[in-house]
Amino acid sequence: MNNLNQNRRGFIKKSALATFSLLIGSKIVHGDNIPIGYLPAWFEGNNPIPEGKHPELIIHSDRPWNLETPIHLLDDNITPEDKLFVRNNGKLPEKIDIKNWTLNIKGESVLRPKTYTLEELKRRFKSHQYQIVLECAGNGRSNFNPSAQGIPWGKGAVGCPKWTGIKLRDVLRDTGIKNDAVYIGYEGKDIHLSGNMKQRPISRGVPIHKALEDQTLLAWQMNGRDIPNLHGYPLRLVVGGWSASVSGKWLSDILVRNIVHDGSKMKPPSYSMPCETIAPGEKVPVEKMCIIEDLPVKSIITYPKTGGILTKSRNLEIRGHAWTGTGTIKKVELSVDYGIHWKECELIPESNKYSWAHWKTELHFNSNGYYEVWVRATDTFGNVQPMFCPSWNPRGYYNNACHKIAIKVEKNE
Amino acid sequence: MSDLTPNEREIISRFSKLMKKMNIVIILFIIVSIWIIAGGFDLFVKNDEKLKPTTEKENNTDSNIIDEETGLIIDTNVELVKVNCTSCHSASLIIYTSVDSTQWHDIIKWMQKTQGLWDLGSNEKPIIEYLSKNYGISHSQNQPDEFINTWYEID
Repeated sequence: MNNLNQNRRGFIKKSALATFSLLIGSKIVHGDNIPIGYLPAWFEGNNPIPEGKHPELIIHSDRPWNLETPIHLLDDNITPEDKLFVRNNGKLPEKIDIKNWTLNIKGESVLRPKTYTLEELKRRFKSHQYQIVLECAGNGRSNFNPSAQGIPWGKGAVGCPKWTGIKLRDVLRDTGIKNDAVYIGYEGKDIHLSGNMKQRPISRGVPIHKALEDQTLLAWQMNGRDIPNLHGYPLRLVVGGWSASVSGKWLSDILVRNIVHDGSKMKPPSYSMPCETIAPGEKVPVEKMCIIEDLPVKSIITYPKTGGILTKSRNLEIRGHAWTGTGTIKKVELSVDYGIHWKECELIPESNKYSWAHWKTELHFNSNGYYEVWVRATDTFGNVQPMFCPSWNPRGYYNNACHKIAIKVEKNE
Repeated sequence: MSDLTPNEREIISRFSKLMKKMNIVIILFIIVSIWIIAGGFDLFVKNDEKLKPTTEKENNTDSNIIDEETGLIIDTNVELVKVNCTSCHSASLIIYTSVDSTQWHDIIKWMQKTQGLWDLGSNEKPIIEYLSKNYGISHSQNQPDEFINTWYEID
Protein backbone atom coordinates (compact mmCIF):
# COMPACT_ATOMS: atom_id res chain seq x y z
CA MET A 1 0.00 0.00 0.00
CA ASN A 2 2.93 2.34 0.77
CA ASN A 3 4.34 2.07 -2.78
CA LEU A 4 0.94 2.64 -4.32
CA ASN A 5 0.29 5.78 -2.29
CA GLN A 6 3.73 7.10 -3.06
CA ASN A 7 3.18 6.56 -6.76
CA ARG A 8 -0.09 8.43 -6.55
CA ARG A 9 1.53 11.37 -4.84
CA GLY A 10 4.34 11.23 -7.34
CA PHE A 11 1.81 11.38 -10.15
CA ILE A 12 0.25 14.50 -8.65
CA LYS A 13 3.63 16.09 -8.09
CA LYS A 14 4.83 15.38 -11.62
CA SER A 15 1.84 17.15 -13.14
CA ALA A 16 2.37 20.15 -10.85
CA LEU A 17 6.04 20.24 -11.83
CA ALA A 18 5.13 20.11 -15.50
CA THR A 19 2.74 23.03 -15.08
CA PHE A 20 5.31 25.04 -13.19
CA SER A 21 7.95 24.31 -15.81
CA LEU A 22 5.62 25.46 -18.55
CA LEU A 23 4.85 28.63 -16.66
CA ILE A 24 8.36 29.84 -16.14
CA GLY A 25 9.58 28.43 -19.42
CA SER A 26 12.42 26.33 -18.04
CA LYS A 27 13.00 22.85 -16.68
CA ILE A 28 12.91 22.45 -12.91
CA VAL A 29 16.33 21.27 -11.88
CA HIS A 30 16.30 18.46 -9.35
CA GLY A 31 12.50 18.20 -9.65
CA ASP A 32 12.77 14.43 -9.56
CA ASN A 33 14.64 14.58 -6.29
CA ILE A 34 11.76 16.11 -4.38
CA PRO A 35 10.94 13.36 -1.87
CA ILE A 36 7.84 11.43 -2.77
CA GLY A 37 5.38 10.88 0.06
CA TYR A 38 6.52 13.94 1.96
CA LEU A 39 3.97 14.99 4.53
CA PRO A 40 4.26 18.18 6.53
CA ALA A 41 5.26 17.05 10.03
CA TRP A 42 2.24 18.55 11.73
CA PHE A 43 -0.12 16.55 9.50
CA GLU A 44 1.09 13.18 10.80
CA GLY A 45 -0.27 11.80 14.02
CA ASN A 46 -3.53 10.37 12.75
CA ASN A 47 -3.17 7.04 14.57
CA PRO A 48 -5.88 4.63 13.51
CA ILE A 49 -5.00 1.89 16.06
CA PRO A 50 -7.71 1.55 18.74
CA GLU A 51 -6.93 2.88 22.19
CA GLY A 52 -5.00 0.52 24.39
CA LYS A 53 -3.43 -1.44 21.53
CA HIS A 54 0.24 -1.40 20.55
CA PRO A 55 1.02 0.95 17.62
CA GLU A 56 2.89 -1.79 15.74
CA LEU A 57 -0.11 -4.10 15.44
CA ILE A 58 -0.92 -4.83 11.81
CA ILE A 59 -4.35 -3.60 10.74
CA HIS A 60 -6.07 -6.10 8.47
CA SER A 61 -9.36 -4.21 8.63
CA ASP A 62 -10.98 -1.47 10.71
CA ARG A 63 -14.60 -2.24 9.97
CA PRO A 64 -14.77 -4.69 11.64
CA TRP A 65 -11.54 -4.44 13.69
CA ASN A 66 -8.98 -7.14 12.91
CA LEU A 67 -5.46 -6.57 14.20
CA GLU A 68 -2.45 -8.92 14.18
CA THR A 69 0.55 -8.92 16.51
CA PRO A 70 4.03 -9.03 14.94
CA ILE A 71 5.58 -12.21 16.35
CA HIS A 72 8.52 -10.52 18.07
CA LEU A 73 5.98 -8.59 20.17
CA LEU A 74 4.67 -11.89 21.60
CA ASP A 75 7.82 -12.42 23.68
CA ASP A 76 6.03 -11.96 27.04
CA ASN A 77 5.14 -15.20 28.81
CA ILE A 78 1.74 -13.74 29.61
CA THR A 79 0.43 -11.71 26.67
CA PRO A 80 -0.38 -8.17 27.81
CA GLU A 81 -3.56 -6.43 26.68
CA ASP A 82 -1.92 -4.08 24.21
CA LYS A 83 -0.27 -6.94 22.33
CA LEU A 84 -3.19 -9.35 22.08
CA PHE A 85 -4.53 -9.75 18.53
CA VAL A 86 -8.05 -8.56 17.79
CA ARG A 87 -10.57 -10.51 15.76
CA ASN A 88 -14.12 -9.15 15.39
CA ASN A 89 -17.03 -10.21 13.24
CA GLY A 90 -19.22 -7.23 14.04
CA LYS A 91 -19.24 -3.89 15.81
CA LEU A 92 -18.65 -3.48 19.53
CA PRO A 93 -21.75 -3.18 21.73
CA GLU A 94 -22.76 0.44 22.04
CA LYS A 95 -23.90 0.78 25.61
CA ILE A 96 -22.97 -1.60 28.38
CA ASP A 97 -25.16 -1.40 31.45
CA ILE A 98 -22.88 -3.27 33.82
CA LYS A 99 -25.32 -3.26 36.74
CA ASN A 100 -28.02 -4.92 34.70
CA TRP A 101 -25.84 -7.23 32.65
CA THR A 102 -27.25 -10.76 32.73
CA LEU A 103 -26.29 -14.19 31.51
CA ASN A 104 -29.21 -16.37 30.43
CA ILE A 105 -28.84 -20.13 30.39
CA LYS A 106 -31.51 -21.43 28.04
CA GLY A 107 -32.12 -23.85 25.17
CA GLU A 108 -34.08 -27.01 24.53
CA SER A 109 -31.78 -29.17 26.66
CA VAL A 110 -31.38 -27.07 29.78
CA LEU A 111 -33.19 -28.53 32.77
CA ARG A 112 -33.93 -25.30 34.66
CA PRO A 113 -33.47 -22.18 32.52
CA LYS A 114 -32.02 -19.39 34.62
CA THR A 115 -30.81 -15.83 34.40
CA TYR A 116 -27.80 -14.70 36.46
CA THR A 117 -26.50 -11.22 37.13
CA LEU A 118 -22.74 -10.69 37.05
CA GLU A 119 -22.78 -10.06 40.76
CA GLU A 120 -24.52 -13.39 41.37
CA LEU A 121 -22.06 -15.31 39.19
CA LYS A 122 -19.13 -13.82 41.08
CA ARG A 123 -20.70 -14.41 44.48
CA ARG A 124 -22.18 -17.89 44.14
CA PHE A 125 -19.49 -19.72 42.21
CA LYS A 126 -15.84 -20.30 42.98
CA SER A 127 -13.53 -18.27 40.78
CA HIS A 128 -10.47 -19.71 39.07
CA GLN A 129 -7.55 -18.33 37.12
CA TYR A 130 -6.04 -20.01 34.07
CA GLN A 131 -3.65 -18.91 31.39
CA ILE A 132 -5.30 -19.98 28.15
CA VAL A 133 -4.15 -19.55 24.55
CA LEU A 134 -6.54 -17.73 22.24
CA GLU A 135 -5.77 -18.41 18.61
CA CYS A 136 -7.66 -17.57 15.46
CA ALA A 137 -8.43 -20.65 13.37
CA GLY A 138 -7.04 -18.81 10.36
CA ASN A 139 -3.66 -18.08 11.97
CA GLY A 140 -1.12 -18.92 9.27
CA ARG A 141 -3.60 -18.51 6.41
CA SER A 142 -1.40 -16.17 4.37
CA ASN A 143 1.06 -18.95 3.43
CA PHE A 144 -1.48 -21.05 1.54
CA ASN A 145 -0.89 -21.23 -2.18
CA PRO A 146 -3.14 -20.52 -4.03
CA SER A 147 -4.49 -17.88 -1.68
CA ALA A 148 -7.27 -18.97 0.66
CA GLN A 149 -10.35 -16.90 1.50
CA GLY A 150 -10.38 -14.91 4.72
CA ILE A 151 -8.21 -12.54 6.74
CA PRO A 152 -4.61 -13.07 5.60
CA TRP A 153 -3.12 -13.62 9.05
CA GLY A 154 0.58 -14.29 9.27
CA LYS A 155 1.43 -16.27 12.42
CA GLY A 156 0.56 -13.55 14.97
CA ALA A 157 -3.15 -14.18 15.53
CA VAL A 158 -2.41 -15.81 18.89
CA GLY A 159 -1.84 -14.81 22.47
CA CYS A 160 -1.94 -16.24 25.98
CA PRO A 161 -3.30 -13.91 28.66
CA LYS A 162 -4.44 -14.96 32.14
CA TRP A 163 -8.19 -15.31 32.59
CA THR A 164 -10.20 -15.06 35.80
CA GLY A 165 -13.73 -16.38 36.00
CA ILE A 166 -15.92 -19.31 36.97
CA LYS A 167 -16.18 -22.70 35.37
CA LEU A 168 -19.03 -23.04 32.86
CA ARG A 169 -19.42 -26.54 34.29
CA ASP A 170 -20.40 -25.15 37.71
CA VAL A 171 -23.14 -23.01 36.19
CA LEU A 172 -24.45 -25.91 34.06
CA ARG A 173 -24.55 -28.07 37.21
CA ASP A 174 -26.62 -25.37 38.84
CA THR A 175 -29.15 -25.28 36.00
CA GLY A 176 -28.91 -28.94 35.17
CA ILE A 177 -28.77 -30.28 31.61
CA LYS A 178 -30.95 -32.94 30.03
CA ASN A 179 -29.69 -36.33 28.88
CA ASP A 180 -30.07 -35.37 25.23
CA ALA A 181 -27.76 -32.33 25.50
CA VAL A 182 -25.01 -32.54 22.87
CA TYR A 183 -23.78 -28.97 22.30
CA ILE A 184 -23.71 -25.50 23.78
CA GLY A 185 -23.92 -22.29 21.80
CA TYR A 186 -23.29 -18.69 22.86
CA GLU A 187 -24.88 -15.36 22.00
CA GLY A 188 -23.25 -11.99 22.59
CA LYS A 189 -24.11 -8.34 22.43
CA ASP A 190 -21.87 -7.37 19.54
CA ILE A 191 -23.73 -5.66 16.71
CA HIS A 192 -24.10 -7.00 13.17
CA LEU A 193 -22.21 -4.95 10.56
CA SER A 194 -25.45 -4.31 8.67
CA GLY A 195 -26.96 -2.68 11.76
CA ASN A 196 -29.69 -5.33 11.92
CA MET A 197 -30.23 -5.71 15.67
CA LYS A 198 -32.02 -9.04 15.23
CA GLN A 199 -28.99 -10.75 13.76
CA ARG A 200 -25.92 -11.94 15.65
CA PRO A 201 -22.58 -11.37 13.95
CA ILE A 202 -21.39 -14.67 15.33
CA SER A 203 -22.91 -17.38 17.51
CA ARG A 204 -20.81 -20.51 17.75
CA GLY A 205 -20.37 -23.27 20.27
CA VAL A 206 -18.72 -26.51 21.34
CA PRO A 207 -19.78 -30.08 22.16
CA ILE A 208 -20.87 -30.73 25.75
CA HIS A 209 -17.64 -32.54 26.67
CA LYS A 210 -15.70 -29.38 25.82
CA ALA A 211 -18.14 -27.16 27.71
CA LEU A 212 -17.66 -29.27 30.84
CA GLU A 213 -13.84 -29.19 30.79
CA ASP A 214 -11.93 -27.82 33.78
CA GLN A 215 -10.52 -24.87 31.87
CA THR A 216 -13.71 -23.73 30.11
CA LEU A 217 -14.40 -20.42 31.79
CA LEU A 218 -16.98 -17.69 31.99
CA ALA A 219 -14.38 -14.96 32.42
CA TRP A 220 -14.62 -11.33 33.50
CA GLN A 221 -10.98 -10.50 33.97
CA MET A 222 -7.97 -10.60 31.69
CA ASN A 223 -4.57 -10.28 33.38
CA GLY A 224 -6.23 -9.22 36.62
CA ARG A 225 -8.25 -6.34 35.13
CA ASP A 226 -11.67 -6.03 33.55
CA ILE A 227 -11.66 -7.61 30.11
CA PRO A 228 -11.06 -4.78 27.60
CA ASN A 229 -13.97 -3.68 25.37
CA LEU A 230 -12.30 -5.08 22.27
CA HIS A 231 -11.92 -8.47 23.93
CA GLY A 232 -15.44 -9.00 25.22
CA TYR A 233 -16.20 -6.77 28.24
CA PRO A 234 -17.78 -7.52 30.66
CA LEU A 235 -18.08 -11.30 30.24
CA ARG A 236 -16.81 -13.85 27.78
CA LEU A 237 -16.36 -17.56 27.24
CA VAL A 238 -12.83 -18.88 27.17
CA VAL A 239 -12.45 -22.37 25.70
CA GLY A 240 -8.97 -23.86 25.47
CA GLY A 241 -7.42 -25.60 22.48
CA TRP A 242 -10.09 -24.69 19.93
CA SER A 243 -10.52 -21.76 17.56
CA ALA A 244 -11.01 -18.50 19.48
CA SER A 245 -14.28 -18.16 17.54
CA VAL A 246 -15.87 -20.48 20.11
CA SER A 247 -14.76 -18.21 22.96
CA GLY A 248 -17.76 -15.90 22.65
CA LYS A 249 -17.42 -12.28 23.68
CA TRP A 250 -19.84 -9.77 25.26
CA LEU A 251 -21.67 -12.85 26.49
CA SER A 252 -25.41 -12.62 27.14
CA ASP A 253 -26.71 -16.15 26.58
CA ILE A 254 -25.60 -19.76 26.69
CA LEU A 255 -27.87 -22.22 24.89
CA VAL A 256 -27.88 -25.90 25.75
CA ARG A 257 -28.73 -27.75 22.52
CA ASN A 258 -29.86 -31.21 21.54
CA ILE A 259 -28.37 -30.70 18.07
CA VAL A 260 -25.06 -29.33 16.85
CA HIS A 261 -25.49 -25.61 17.44
CA ASP A 262 -26.60 -23.82 14.29
CA GLY A 263 -25.99 -20.17 15.09
CA SER A 264 -24.35 -17.58 12.85
CA LYS A 265 -21.00 -18.75 11.40
CA MET A 266 -21.38 -22.18 12.98
CA LYS A 267 -22.19 -24.12 9.83
CA PRO A 268 -19.91 -24.97 6.89
CA PRO A 269 -18.24 -23.32 5.06
CA SER A 270 -17.57 -21.15 8.15
CA TYR A 271 -14.79 -22.57 10.31
CA SER A 272 -14.83 -25.78 8.27
CA MET A 273 -12.40 -27.87 6.27
CA PRO A 274 -12.97 -30.49 3.58
CA CYS A 275 -13.73 -33.73 5.42
CA GLU A 276 -11.31 -35.47 3.03
CA THR A 277 -8.10 -33.81 1.93
CA ILE A 278 -8.17 -32.06 -1.47
CA ALA A 279 -5.64 -30.72 -3.95
CA PRO A 280 -4.58 -27.07 -3.78
CA GLY A 281 -7.22 -24.89 -5.42
CA GLU A 282 -9.80 -27.68 -5.73
CA LYS A 283 -13.47 -26.76 -5.26
CA VAL A 284 -15.39 -28.65 -2.56
CA PRO A 285 -19.16 -28.54 -1.93
CA VAL A 286 -20.37 -27.36 1.47
CA GLU A 287 -21.88 -30.80 2.24
CA LYS A 288 -18.39 -32.30 2.14
CA MET A 289 -16.97 -29.88 4.73
CA CYS A 290 -16.53 -30.62 8.43
CA ILE A 291 -16.41 -28.17 11.36
CA ILE A 292 -12.90 -27.70 12.72
CA GLU A 293 -12.27 -28.72 16.32
CA ASP A 294 -8.91 -29.07 18.18
CA LEU A 295 -6.30 -26.67 16.80
CA PRO A 296 -2.98 -28.25 15.73
CA VAL A 297 0.42 -28.11 17.49
CA LYS A 298 2.38 -24.90 16.84
CA SER A 299 5.40 -22.90 17.95
CA ILE A 300 6.91 -19.47 17.38
CA ILE A 301 10.31 -17.79 17.81
CA THR A 302 9.64 -14.57 19.73
CA TYR A 303 13.27 -13.54 20.28
CA PRO A 304 15.13 -12.41 18.31
CA LYS A 305 13.06 -10.60 15.70
CA THR A 306 13.78 -11.86 12.20
CA GLY A 307 16.49 -9.95 10.36
CA GLY A 308 19.15 -9.79 13.07
CA ILE A 309 22.90 -9.61 12.44
CA LEU A 310 25.40 -11.05 14.92
CA THR A 311 28.60 -9.02 14.85
CA LYS A 312 30.34 -9.61 18.18
CA SER A 313 29.95 -13.36 18.58
CA ARG A 314 28.61 -16.42 16.82
CA ASN A 315 26.32 -17.33 19.72
CA LEU A 316 22.64 -16.52 19.77
CA GLU A 317 20.15 -16.72 22.64
CA ILE A 318 16.84 -17.67 21.16
CA ARG A 319 13.42 -18.35 22.69
CA GLY A 320 9.67 -18.58 22.12
CA HIS A 321 6.47 -20.43 22.91
CA ALA A 322 4.74 -23.65 21.85
CA TRP A 323 1.14 -24.79 22.26
CA THR A 324 -1.36 -27.42 21.12
CA GLY A 325 -5.06 -28.28 21.20
CA THR A 326 -4.30 -31.93 21.89
CA GLY A 327 -2.50 -32.85 25.09
CA THR A 328 0.54 -30.81 26.10
CA ILE A 329 3.88 -29.90 24.50
CA LYS A 330 6.42 -32.72 24.66
CA LYS A 331 9.45 -31.13 22.98
CA VAL A 332 10.61 -28.17 20.92
CA GLU A 333 13.54 -28.33 18.47
CA LEU A 334 15.46 -25.92 16.25
CA SER A 335 17.16 -26.42 12.91
CA VAL A 336 19.61 -24.12 11.12
CA ASP A 337 20.14 -26.37 8.10
CA TYR A 338 16.64 -26.52 6.67
CA GLY A 339 15.53 -29.54 8.69
CA ILE A 340 18.46 -31.92 8.31
CA HIS A 341 19.52 -31.68 11.96
CA TRP A 342 17.36 -30.66 14.91
CA LYS A 343 18.54 -29.45 18.32
CA GLU A 344 16.24 -29.96 21.30
CA CYS A 345 15.58 -26.85 23.43
CA GLU A 346 15.06 -26.37 27.13
CA LEU A 347 11.31 -26.56 27.80
CA ILE A 348 9.29 -24.85 30.53
CA PRO A 349 5.93 -26.66 30.54
CA GLU A 350 2.53 -24.98 30.40
CA SER A 351 1.27 -23.47 33.67
CA ASN A 352 -2.00 -25.35 33.05
CA LYS A 353 -3.54 -27.31 30.18
CA TYR A 354 -4.30 -25.08 27.12
CA SER A 355 -1.71 -22.50 28.14
CA TRP A 356 1.50 -22.24 26.16
CA ALA A 357 4.87 -23.73 27.01
CA HIS A 358 8.08 -21.71 26.76
CA TRP A 359 11.30 -22.87 25.20
CA LYS A 360 14.81 -21.47 24.94
CA THR A 361 18.33 -22.38 23.94
CA GLU A 362 21.64 -20.95 22.79
CA LEU A 363 22.71 -21.52 19.21
CA HIS A 364 26.37 -21.58 18.09
CA PHE A 365 27.16 -20.81 14.46
CA ASN A 366 30.42 -22.23 13.09
CA SER A 367 30.89 -19.64 10.39
CA ASN A 368 29.67 -16.34 9.07
CA GLY A 369 26.77 -16.28 6.65
CA TYR A 370 23.00 -16.12 6.25
CA TYR A 371 20.98 -18.68 8.22
CA GLU A 372 17.35 -19.59 8.65
CA VAL A 373 16.35 -20.84 12.09
CA TRP A 374 13.30 -23.13 12.06
CA VAL A 375 11.35 -24.16 15.18
CA ARG A 376 9.32 -27.39 15.47
CA ALA A 377 7.12 -28.59 18.34
CA THR A 378 5.85 -32.09 19.18
CA ASP A 379 2.92 -32.73 21.53
CA THR A 380 2.07 -35.64 23.83
CA PHE A 381 -0.41 -36.99 21.28
CA GLY A 382 2.54 -37.49 18.91
CA ASN A 383 1.60 -34.62 16.62
CA VAL A 384 4.56 -32.87 15.00
CA GLN A 385 4.61 -29.69 12.94
CA PRO A 386 5.31 -29.99 9.20
CA MET A 387 8.02 -27.78 7.72
CA PHE A 388 5.83 -26.75 4.80
CA CYS A 389 2.26 -25.60 4.52
CA PRO A 390 0.02 -28.68 4.97
CA SER A 391 -3.36 -29.62 3.46
CA TRP A 392 -4.73 -26.85 1.29
CA ASN A 393 -8.35 -25.92 2.08
CA PRO A 394 -10.49 -23.10 0.69
CA ARG A 395 -10.62 -21.18 3.98
CA GLY A 396 -6.97 -21.58 4.86
CA TYR A 397 -7.26 -23.23 8.28
CA TYR A 398 -4.76 -25.42 10.11
CA ASN A 399 -1.52 -24.11 8.65
CA ASN A 400 0.81 -25.19 11.43
CA ALA A 401 3.99 -25.20 9.33
CA CYS A 402 7.15 -24.32 11.25
CA HIS A 403 7.91 -20.69 11.97
CA LYS A 404 11.34 -19.55 10.83
CA ILE A 405 13.45 -16.43 11.23
CA ALA A 406 16.48 -15.19 9.28
CA ILE A 407 19.81 -14.37 10.89
CA LYS A 408 23.14 -13.14 9.52
CA VAL A 409 26.42 -13.88 11.24
CA GLU A 410 29.08 -11.30 10.38
CA LYS A 411 31.66 -11.58 13.11
CA ASN A 412 35.11 -10.39 12.10
CA GLU A 413 38.00 -12.40 13.55
CA MET B 1 3.95 59.89 -20.77
CA SER B 2 3.36 63.63 -21.06
CA ASP B 3 2.97 63.60 -24.84
CA LEU B 4 0.21 60.97 -24.86
CA THR B 5 -3.37 61.76 -25.69
CA PRO B 6 -6.05 61.20 -23.02
CA ASN B 7 -7.27 58.23 -25.05
CA GLU B 8 -3.83 56.71 -25.16
CA ARG B 9 -3.39 57.34 -21.45
CA GLU B 10 -6.75 55.69 -20.89
CA ILE B 11 -5.70 52.68 -22.89
CA ILE B 12 -2.34 52.46 -21.16
CA SER B 13 -4.05 52.85 -17.77
CA ARG B 14 -6.51 50.07 -18.52
CA PHE B 15 -3.78 47.90 -19.90
CA SER B 16 -1.68 48.50 -16.76
CA LYS B 17 -4.61 47.51 -14.55
CA LEU B 18 -5.15 44.39 -16.65
CA MET B 19 -1.47 43.51 -16.38
CA LYS B 20 -1.63 43.97 -12.62
CA LYS B 21 -4.63 41.64 -12.44
CA MET B 22 -2.89 39.08 -14.59
CA ASN B 23 0.23 39.34 -12.47
CA ILE B 24 -1.81 38.51 -9.42
CA VAL B 25 -3.25 35.49 -11.20
CA ILE B 26 0.19 34.39 -12.33
CA ILE B 27 1.64 34.87 -8.87
CA LEU B 28 -1.21 32.89 -7.32
CA PHE B 29 -0.67 30.15 -9.88
CA ILE B 30 3.03 29.99 -9.01
CA ILE B 31 2.27 29.87 -5.29
CA VAL B 32 -0.25 27.07 -5.71
CA SER B 33 2.16 25.07 -7.89
CA ILE B 34 4.97 25.40 -5.37
CA TRP B 35 2.54 24.37 -2.65
CA ILE B 36 1.51 21.25 -4.56
CA ILE B 37 5.12 20.31 -5.22
CA ALA B 38 6.04 20.78 -1.56
CA GLY B 39 3.34 18.32 -0.61
CA GLY B 40 0.60 20.67 0.47
CA PHE B 41 -1.87 18.64 -1.55
CA ASP B 42 -1.22 15.87 0.92
CA LEU B 43 -3.21 17.80 3.48
CA PHE B 44 -6.28 16.39 1.79
CA VAL B 45 -4.95 12.88 1.66
CA LYS B 46 -5.81 10.46 4.44
CA ASN B 47 -2.80 9.15 6.31
CA ASP B 48 -3.51 5.51 5.64
CA GLU B 49 0.09 4.34 5.66
CA LYS B 50 -0.59 2.14 8.67
CA LEU B 51 -2.79 -0.16 6.59
CA LYS B 52 -0.42 -2.83 5.42
CA PRO B 53 -1.42 -5.87 3.41
CA THR B 54 0.39 -9.01 4.43
CA THR B 55 0.34 -10.68 1.04
CA GLU B 56 1.81 -9.59 -2.24
CA LYS B 57 -0.74 -9.78 -5.05
CA GLU B 58 0.31 -10.45 -8.65
CA ASN B 59 -2.39 -8.23 -10.10
CA ASN B 60 -1.85 -5.31 -7.70
CA THR B 61 1.19 -3.86 -9.40
CA ASP B 62 2.71 -0.44 -8.91
CA SER B 63 1.08 0.82 -12.09
CA ASN B 64 -2.44 0.74 -10.54
CA ILE B 65 -4.03 3.98 -9.41
CA ILE B 66 -5.69 3.59 -6.03
CA ASP B 67 -8.89 5.24 -4.84
CA GLU B 68 -7.91 7.57 -1.99
CA GLU B 69 -11.08 7.06 -0.01
CA THR B 70 -11.16 3.27 0.13
CA GLY B 71 -7.82 1.94 -1.09
CA LEU B 72 -9.54 0.05 -3.94
CA ILE B 73 -7.88 -0.20 -7.35
CA ILE B 74 -9.43 2.30 -9.74
CA ASP B 75 -10.85 0.35 -12.67
CA THR B 76 -14.13 0.10 -14.56
CA ASN B 77 -17.05 -0.27 -12.13
CA VAL B 78 -15.10 0.58 -8.98
CA GLU B 79 -17.84 3.07 -8.12
CA LEU B 80 -20.42 0.26 -8.14
CA VAL B 81 -18.23 -1.69 -5.75
CA LYS B 82 -17.74 1.30 -3.47
CA VAL B 83 -21.44 2.00 -3.27
CA ASN B 84 -22.57 -1.60 -2.75
CA CYS B 85 -19.69 -3.04 -0.77
CA THR B 86 -18.43 -0.54 1.80
CA SER B 87 -21.53 0.48 3.72
CA CYS B 88 -21.28 -2.44 6.20
CA HIS B 89 -17.61 -3.33 6.16
CA SER B 90 -14.48 -1.50 5.09
CA ALA B 91 -12.88 -2.07 1.69
CA SER B 92 -10.06 -3.94 3.46
CA LEU B 93 -12.20 -7.07 3.33
CA ILE B 94 -12.06 -6.88 -0.48
CA ILE B 95 -8.43 -5.76 -0.67
CA TYR B 96 -7.06 -8.64 1.40
CA THR B 97 -9.07 -11.26 -0.53
CA SER B 98 -7.68 -13.03 -3.61
CA VAL B 99 -10.16 -15.50 -5.05
CA ASP B 100 -11.56 -16.37 -8.48
CA SER B 101 -14.89 -15.30 -9.97
CA THR B 102 -16.73 -18.44 -8.80
CA GLN B 103 -15.71 -17.74 -5.23
CA TRP B 104 -16.56 -14.03 -5.45
CA HIS B 105 -19.98 -15.11 -6.67
CA ASP B 106 -20.30 -17.56 -3.75
CA ILE B 107 -19.22 -14.90 -1.27
CA ILE B 108 -21.88 -12.52 -2.60
CA LYS B 109 -24.55 -15.21 -2.39
CA TRP B 110 -23.50 -16.00 1.20
CA MET B 111 -23.73 -12.32 2.14
CA GLN B 112 -27.17 -12.08 0.57
CA LYS B 113 -28.34 -15.24 2.32
CA THR B 114 -26.90 -14.63 5.77
CA GLN B 115 -25.58 -11.08 6.20
CA GLY B 116 -28.33 -8.81 4.92
CA LEU B 117 -26.81 -7.88 1.54
CA TRP B 118 -29.45 -6.74 -0.95
CA ASP B 119 -30.12 -8.02 -4.46
CA LEU B 120 -27.48 -6.46 -6.73
CA GLY B 121 -29.62 -6.90 -9.85
CA SER B 122 -27.87 -5.92 -13.08
CA ASN B 123 -24.90 -4.64 -11.05
CA GLU B 124 -23.92 -8.11 -9.95
CA LYS B 125 -22.10 -9.10 -13.14
CA PRO B 126 -19.95 -5.94 -13.44
CA ILE B 127 -19.17 -6.09 -9.71
CA ILE B 128 -17.95 -9.68 -9.93
CA GLU B 129 -15.96 -8.78 -13.05
CA TYR B 130 -14.21 -5.95 -11.21
CA LEU B 131 -13.50 -8.12 -8.17
CA SER B 132 -12.12 -11.13 -10.01
CA LYS B 133 -10.00 -8.94 -12.29
CA ASN B 134 -8.47 -6.76 -9.57
CA TYR B 135 -8.65 -9.13 -6.59
CA GLY B 136 -8.33 -12.47 -8.32
CA ILE B 137 -6.56 -15.56 -7.16
CA SER B 138 -2.89 -15.11 -6.38
CA HIS B 139 -0.16 -17.63 -6.60
CA SER B 140 2.71 -16.66 -4.39
CA GLN B 141 6.28 -17.78 -4.58
CA ASN B 142 7.84 -19.35 -1.53
CA GLN B 143 7.68 -16.45 0.90
CA PRO B 144 9.49 -15.79 4.13
CA ASP B 145 7.15 -15.65 7.10
CA GLU B 146 7.78 -12.01 7.77
CA PHE B 147 9.19 -9.58 5.31
CA ILE B 148 12.54 -8.27 6.50
CA ASN B 149 12.30 -4.50 6.25
CA THR B 150 15.78 -3.81 7.57
CA TRP B 151 18.58 -5.88 8.92
CA TYR B 152 19.64 -4.83 12.42
CA GLU B 153 22.40 -5.77 14.85
CA ILE B 154 21.45 -8.08 17.69
CA ASP B 155 24.63 -7.65 19.70
